[in-house]
Amino acid sequence: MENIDKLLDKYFDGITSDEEEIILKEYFSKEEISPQHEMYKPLFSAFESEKQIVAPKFTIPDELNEKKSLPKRIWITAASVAAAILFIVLLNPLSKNAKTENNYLVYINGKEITNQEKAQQYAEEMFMQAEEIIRVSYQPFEETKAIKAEMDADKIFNDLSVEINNIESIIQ
Amino acid sequence: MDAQQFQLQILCYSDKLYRMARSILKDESRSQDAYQELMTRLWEKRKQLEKLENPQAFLLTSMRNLCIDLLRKEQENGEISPNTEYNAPNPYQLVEQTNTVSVIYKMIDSLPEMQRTIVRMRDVEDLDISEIAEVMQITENAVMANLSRGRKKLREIIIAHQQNERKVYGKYR
Amino acid sequence: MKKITTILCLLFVVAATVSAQQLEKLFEKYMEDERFNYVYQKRPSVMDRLNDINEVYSSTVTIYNTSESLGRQMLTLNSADAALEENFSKEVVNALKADKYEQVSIVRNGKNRVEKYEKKTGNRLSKVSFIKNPGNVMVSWNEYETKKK
Repeated sequence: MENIDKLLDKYFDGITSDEEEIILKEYFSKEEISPQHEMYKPLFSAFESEKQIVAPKFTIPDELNEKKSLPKRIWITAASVAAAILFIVLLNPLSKNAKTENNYLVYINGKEITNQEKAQQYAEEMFMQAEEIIRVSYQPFEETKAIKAEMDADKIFNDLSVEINNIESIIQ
Repeated sequence: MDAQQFQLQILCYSDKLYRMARSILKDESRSQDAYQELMTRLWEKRKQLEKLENPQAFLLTSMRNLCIDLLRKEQENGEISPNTEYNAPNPYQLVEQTNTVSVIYKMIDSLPEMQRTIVRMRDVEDLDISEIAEVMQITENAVMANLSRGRKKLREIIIAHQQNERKVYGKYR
Repeated sequence: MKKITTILCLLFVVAATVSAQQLEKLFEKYMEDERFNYVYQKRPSVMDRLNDINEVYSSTVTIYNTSESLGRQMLTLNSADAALEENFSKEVVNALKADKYEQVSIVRNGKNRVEKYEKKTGNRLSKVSFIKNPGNVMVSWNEYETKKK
């Protein structure tokens, strides 16, 4: 009994621990309690009965209905996006190159070479390299072509005819 | 977040949220309206709710703010201020009530909103001090101070009520 | 229905406009990329012109057509990463296909591989050389305007 009185004092001072409050609540849920504590019983009962209050039902709005409104928005967005793309594509100058005033435009590893002389040097070097690789790669191909041309019967005949005509014209 | 997730993650706090509304608004039908309104707004914003770190604190704070806003609007319209301390109900009126629990409700409702909400969060919802601090957005010390004030006030009201009962009905007990 | 048809038409037009420029897009995409080198020459020198005429002569256009170079550009990927080179090569081939280039020849010379592509649209002749060397990949793009005499 003294214990409960002490706990009650602590409780109303707001300094009871969780365990102490549980003890008080259990005590006040009993049928028989000491008379001097009777007046506090309604307080603890009130808290217990408030715990039983439940919320009204909330019906989650029908998702199907929500989905119906989406297609309209999608179409409008799609139309505006398509229009925007079209607008941009048609109006923008297509090539970045068209914008440069300089004769040469060079980027090395993403960095622009602004000095025109250096840019020219580098660009010519690169083009030459590529051309060289192509020339070397195609050399056998070209040689074969040349040989084929030389072995071309028609050509040989034509050349001979031309020669004969020349000789004939000289003699005459 | 789909309907099922909303059910599991948000609607599990329904009862606490409704009781919070009831405590602040002190009116059954307005509490139901407030609750429905909060739920509707939460459903509309359900995508953002997926990232909530502390749903309980967020939801309870939202409900409290919604209710306080409601009361403020009514105050602007010339109705009762939410924060003034009510005078203790007339002891004779209280004595006429036969149901002592509802008398207690009235006593609790007579506390200023902050004390009342904190007392209920502690004694009805069983939240700890730190959780209450998050919802009320005040320090833990402030929570304890308000809790102590609220409970002390309740004790005074209970004792005063008791003494009045004895005065009026003493000779019949 | 009307909205759907309008949108489809718009998209079709956009697609049509866009489709002829896949190679251009590829160049623009990578020209400033740090893994690539890019060179562009707007107007060629006299020497280059002579070379170009020879080039032109050795393919589909016959000698009595003179042509004017519209500029040339080259994109080079310097990389030891085989996967990167593969991916880039695929992108190039896809772009060439999308832009309707025809493959004219493929030649292998030891470690090098050269593929030549051509496209003729009206007066414009576009030639692309796709060179794969060990350690780098080059895409060289020349354009000429042919004038018939």
